[in-house]
Amino acid sequence: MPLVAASMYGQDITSGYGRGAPGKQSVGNTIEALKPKARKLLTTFASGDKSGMASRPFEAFLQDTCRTPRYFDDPALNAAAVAHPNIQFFFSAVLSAPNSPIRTAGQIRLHQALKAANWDITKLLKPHNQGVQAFNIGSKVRSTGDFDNGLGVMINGVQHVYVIATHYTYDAKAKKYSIRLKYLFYDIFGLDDDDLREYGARSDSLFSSTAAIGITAWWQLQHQFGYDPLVTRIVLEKTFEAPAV
Amino acid sequence: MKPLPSDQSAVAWPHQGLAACALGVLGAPVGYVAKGALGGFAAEFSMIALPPLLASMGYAFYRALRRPQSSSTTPVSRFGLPGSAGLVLSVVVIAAFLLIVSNFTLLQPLERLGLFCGVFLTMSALFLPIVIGRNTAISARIAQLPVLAGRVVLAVIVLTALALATLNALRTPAFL
Repeated sequence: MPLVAASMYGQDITSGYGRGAPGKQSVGNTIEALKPKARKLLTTFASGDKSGMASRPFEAFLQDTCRTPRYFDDPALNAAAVAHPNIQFFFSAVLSAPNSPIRTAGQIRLHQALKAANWDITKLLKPHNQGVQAFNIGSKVRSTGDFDNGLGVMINGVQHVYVIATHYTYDAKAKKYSIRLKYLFYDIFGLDDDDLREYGARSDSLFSSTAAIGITAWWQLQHQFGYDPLVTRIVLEKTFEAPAV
Repeated sequence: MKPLPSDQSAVAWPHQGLAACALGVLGAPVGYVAKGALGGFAAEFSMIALPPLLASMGYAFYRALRRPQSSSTTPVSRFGLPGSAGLVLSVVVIAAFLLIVSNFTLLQPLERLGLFCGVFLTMSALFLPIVIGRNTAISARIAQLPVLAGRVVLAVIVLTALALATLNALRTPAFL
């Protein structure tokens, strides 16, 4: 694996004590009042999650047992991700081999980089600019798809993805290669000020939606009561065979 | 001979369209309730908001859908100032309900507006057969507007709402 820079995250990975909300938003003054309000987000955006993959990071966040950001790994989350159409699209687009269902035309992807390196993976120049689509299939309004199975509220947009080739064989005679790729997806289970400004409730009045109150409660726990966010990690592996042409 | 506003056959289609739009706005709360928007709030919100909303919608629809008065009388002469004040209050209550309930989930301003436009257009389409088939006060009132102006206003309202609703339906949902 080529040397890569450490992943950078924004304000959503930070936590603190007693910080004032940017718009003076507040839905409670105690941890006991805020926790159930934050959990209500699960009712709105993860009622279809039968595996518990969405409630587990919430509960891990709300336990507050650690003072540093922790990784959150979950087999059910990995299983949900591997079956997700946007991840399937990403698998295919990253390789962009002639037999890939999805190919990114005009871009240097893994297949094109291997070809340029004359199929010698040790000489491969790392492709960079392949993004992954967010977990945002479905409707927020009707609470369907990723806004029902929990993927939207726990991840939505993935912040960093690393693709590592763990196995590679090249058959010059048959003009084909086999490659096993390990995908590491990282996101922060935490909120920043922009999230609060955009989606938070000013107060817990009857006229605020439970979802907006939940966002404010989550932000307050993180930035006013020191609850540390999690680093959500999805690990997937997949083997491909492709013609070396 | 110039027909009276109460003569339904004389109400031009732009006026009927605008009347349907007005009823679409008044009826938009029903669209949000049908979408389950009240579920996005605490149960107490429904208990507090629904009685004044229903009263306001009832009065506003009564005023809008009743038979038009003859041209010799004005609305004020029949309902008086309390009636006019009641109508204004009803519209304010409906608007306030829409303002609150349209924020029932985590929506960005453009998504919120696009969703409202979709609800408004749907409700307006549902009311269109009523204003075409029935001689209503709101149609007669709007018929006082010149036809050309009615066409322009209707086109601006419908096309803008259609564009915003379509944009909202096609764009990727923004989230955290």
